[in-house]
Amino acid sequence: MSGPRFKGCDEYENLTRRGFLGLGAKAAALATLAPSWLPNVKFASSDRLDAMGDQRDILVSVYLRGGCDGLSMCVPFGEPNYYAARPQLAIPRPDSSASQKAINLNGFFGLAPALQPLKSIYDAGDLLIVHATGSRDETKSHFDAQHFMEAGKPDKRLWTGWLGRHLNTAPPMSQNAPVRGVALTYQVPLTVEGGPKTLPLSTLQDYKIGGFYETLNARRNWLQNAYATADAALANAAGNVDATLQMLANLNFQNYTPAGGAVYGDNDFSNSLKAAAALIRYEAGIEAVHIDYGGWDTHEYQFPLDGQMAALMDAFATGLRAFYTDLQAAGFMHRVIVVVVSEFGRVLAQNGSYGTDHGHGNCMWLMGGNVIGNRVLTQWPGLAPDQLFEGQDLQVTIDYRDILAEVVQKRLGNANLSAVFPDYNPSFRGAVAG
Amino acid sequence: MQSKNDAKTPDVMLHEVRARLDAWAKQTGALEQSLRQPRIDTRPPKDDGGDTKGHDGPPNLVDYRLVHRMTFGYSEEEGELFRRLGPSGYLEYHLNHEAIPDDYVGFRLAEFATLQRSGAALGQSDWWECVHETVQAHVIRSIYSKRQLYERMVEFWADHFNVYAPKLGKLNTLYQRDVIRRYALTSFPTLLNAVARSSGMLEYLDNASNITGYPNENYARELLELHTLGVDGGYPEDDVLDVARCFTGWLYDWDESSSTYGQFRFDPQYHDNARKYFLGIEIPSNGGIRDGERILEILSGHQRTAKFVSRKLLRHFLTEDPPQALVDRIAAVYMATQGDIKSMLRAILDQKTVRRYATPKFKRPYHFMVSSLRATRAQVPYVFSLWWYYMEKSGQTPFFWPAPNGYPDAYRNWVGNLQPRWMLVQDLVQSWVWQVTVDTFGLLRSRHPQAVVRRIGEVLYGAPVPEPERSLLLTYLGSNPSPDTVREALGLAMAGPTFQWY
Repeated sequence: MSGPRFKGCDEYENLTRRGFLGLGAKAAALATLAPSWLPNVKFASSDRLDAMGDQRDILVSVYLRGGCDGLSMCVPFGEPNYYAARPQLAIPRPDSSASQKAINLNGFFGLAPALQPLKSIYDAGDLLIVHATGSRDETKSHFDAQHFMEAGKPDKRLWTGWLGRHLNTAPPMSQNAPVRGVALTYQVPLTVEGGPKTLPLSTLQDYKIGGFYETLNARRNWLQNAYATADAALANAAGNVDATLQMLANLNFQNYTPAGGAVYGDNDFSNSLKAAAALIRYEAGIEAVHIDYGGWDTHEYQFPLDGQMAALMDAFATGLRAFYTDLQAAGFMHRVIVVVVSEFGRVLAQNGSYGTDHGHGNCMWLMGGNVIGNRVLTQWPGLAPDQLFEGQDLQVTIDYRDILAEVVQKRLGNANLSAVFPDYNPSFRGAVAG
Repeated sequence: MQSKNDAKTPDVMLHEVRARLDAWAKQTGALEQSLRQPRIDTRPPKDDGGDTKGHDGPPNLVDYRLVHRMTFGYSEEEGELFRRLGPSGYLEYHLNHEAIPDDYVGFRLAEFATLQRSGAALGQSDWWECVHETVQAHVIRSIYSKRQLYERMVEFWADHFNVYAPKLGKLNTLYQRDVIRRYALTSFPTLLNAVARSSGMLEYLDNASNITGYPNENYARELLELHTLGVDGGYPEDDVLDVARCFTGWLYDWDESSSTYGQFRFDPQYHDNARKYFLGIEIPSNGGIRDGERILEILSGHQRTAKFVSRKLLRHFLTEDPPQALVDRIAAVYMATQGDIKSMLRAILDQKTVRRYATPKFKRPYHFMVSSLRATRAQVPYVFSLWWYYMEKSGQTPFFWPAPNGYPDAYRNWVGNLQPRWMLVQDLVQSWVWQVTVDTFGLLRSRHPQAVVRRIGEVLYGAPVPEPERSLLLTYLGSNPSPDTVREALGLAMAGPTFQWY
């Protein structure tokens, strides 16, 4: 454990724990107490959960909406067919004389130059790229493909998510946690649907319920009473609002200071990662944070060196780099794992408008202290015409559930894989330790 | 010309209902009979049939259920209209939307300069000004328009044929005005054809770059999956590509300096004229623009389209999971009337059908906001504060859903995010939402606890507040509530569980 040690302030720690009890006026009275990110305030100990014998990782699930072009992110520069199919969209080989070119990883794959900030994490062994992975279902509909991947099964009648079912079948890390799962989105995405104590939190700063401060407790009580007899989902949602009000009042995100001098970008993805870092460092018992990052449906003017794709990747890498620096310096990276997925990759050949249409195989990204990184994990199928899926797309040779199931069992401590990924027998691929 | 400050306020409008109603009745003549004996008592109209044993939901919503279903929220004004006209008269009144005077909205929209501009003028307009004004105008109309059913249908089609304003910019002005709003109550084939020829959709789903030899199937796929047949529509994957080829060359004028900016144009030199097949039907070679038109004809007349659209309409108005028999019945109306939208609405909003099949629907965040503003007769001189304060956080700003499937219309999608709702209404009653004001005492007319709770029921539901909320409100008010406490009670009533449904 190498996190910064905070000077003791027993009163604060005590109050914080009580705050986690959640409902009621007693808890609400704590809202004025201002834990700050200044180092003379003691956090709930970073060792606390470890001391309880809980070695599970906290999961950050990132969904790149729209079908990201994995071939522009982790570039198979060893494939001549890649260059033949994308005259204007390919990223030059690392040994080319171009000023902007792939960053060599292993002699065959390279990172897009916009992903440079991730290279040192890769080198440190904390970043793993899985290639030619994804869902084996052949749909090219965003909605179906997202549904299938988030549900963890190609079944349109399944309306709970794999991560939601994990939370539902695993004991909580902390019994008093007001919230176990958070989606940093406006709605609950399917991935975490079905999770107990799971709610969307669009922004941490503005989570308030209005009205006079003096009557806040009375109104909170009124609402809890009124909702107590409502429909179960609604009553549950109301309870979560109250518990979250309490937790966030104590968290004081406005004053959050990233550790290690980490610099987050000024965009939604970075803001979400910063909020995830604060929630994790605060140790309120949150086990899973889900982040959506949209805009990857690059049918037109994709240009991965100086166009849409470059901007998307730049924000992606800047955010993940800052998050890593922050949690590494704060001593949490050894028990955090980030998993990045997208519904499908994109067609190998560029289309008529300098973009790429919906494809099939893609990359996944795993980051964390327990990832077996510094490599591209793949059973590379090749990009020759006869090696492509339906003659046009990168094949899927590793089912995405193989990777997720391994994370769920080894890092999230849940062996009930048949509940998390129904009707699927995953093959572990050695992606993570444990 | 009246200035904005002189414009009629919603409070004044309430007193004008009868006059406008008379004017309208004279125009139409059709309902004079029912108006001859105006019923101005406060009893709900007699049930005119139907199975009342079905899903009644929150009991307070039953009597005025049709009002709750057809509008963006109950108001005393709509309640009075309903009492006077009866269920079928009320429905016909709203279906004949162009005859309903809407002066106040007209005054309010006058401040938005870009709304009525031609394509050429929009080409020279500011991108974000156009986006902002389409959203603001939409909100103003939802709150204040007397043509509530029409606005609810505009909402429906804006979701069904969703576009994303930040991608379209000024094209969204044309799209919402000249496509969605213009054809919202015509027929589905009319609307489908207008959408297919709109610069908004051609741009949003990339058909503007769908040209022979380089097909872009984005529009073709959503046309089949989301606009007509549905994802289980029984078309093979190969058909998507052929449909895309049929729409090659369907472009629009994107030159902002052009006098025809934003207009549809078919360019034969970019059209794929080879033979195609769709659902086993041959689309012969050299069809030109007829290829795409033929696809739209096939889709418009297809039984699966009828069922897909009917199911969505039933979801929108009656119930999240409509029974198949009801879907089939509405689809039959579609097939018999060539997709006439008013005919379908008559069948769906028929009082017997409503009584039998309507189940409580959870308000989406936008619906919730508008319903709270309507019930409290809020003054909203400025929409932006609602935008950043509530709509963005709640996850539903008009025209800001990026994916082509439109904002979801299901309880499970929205139930998890109550906090923005609680914040909105509890600040609203204190007039703390910037520039938005509510005259609580003008509305409730009393500080006596029993009277306050009775009035809260009348303005929110046209019926008593149900238990346990009624008792809880009385407890909260105590015996001698302060003005602040009375305001808080109204806010709590709207934050409470019953007001989340309609």
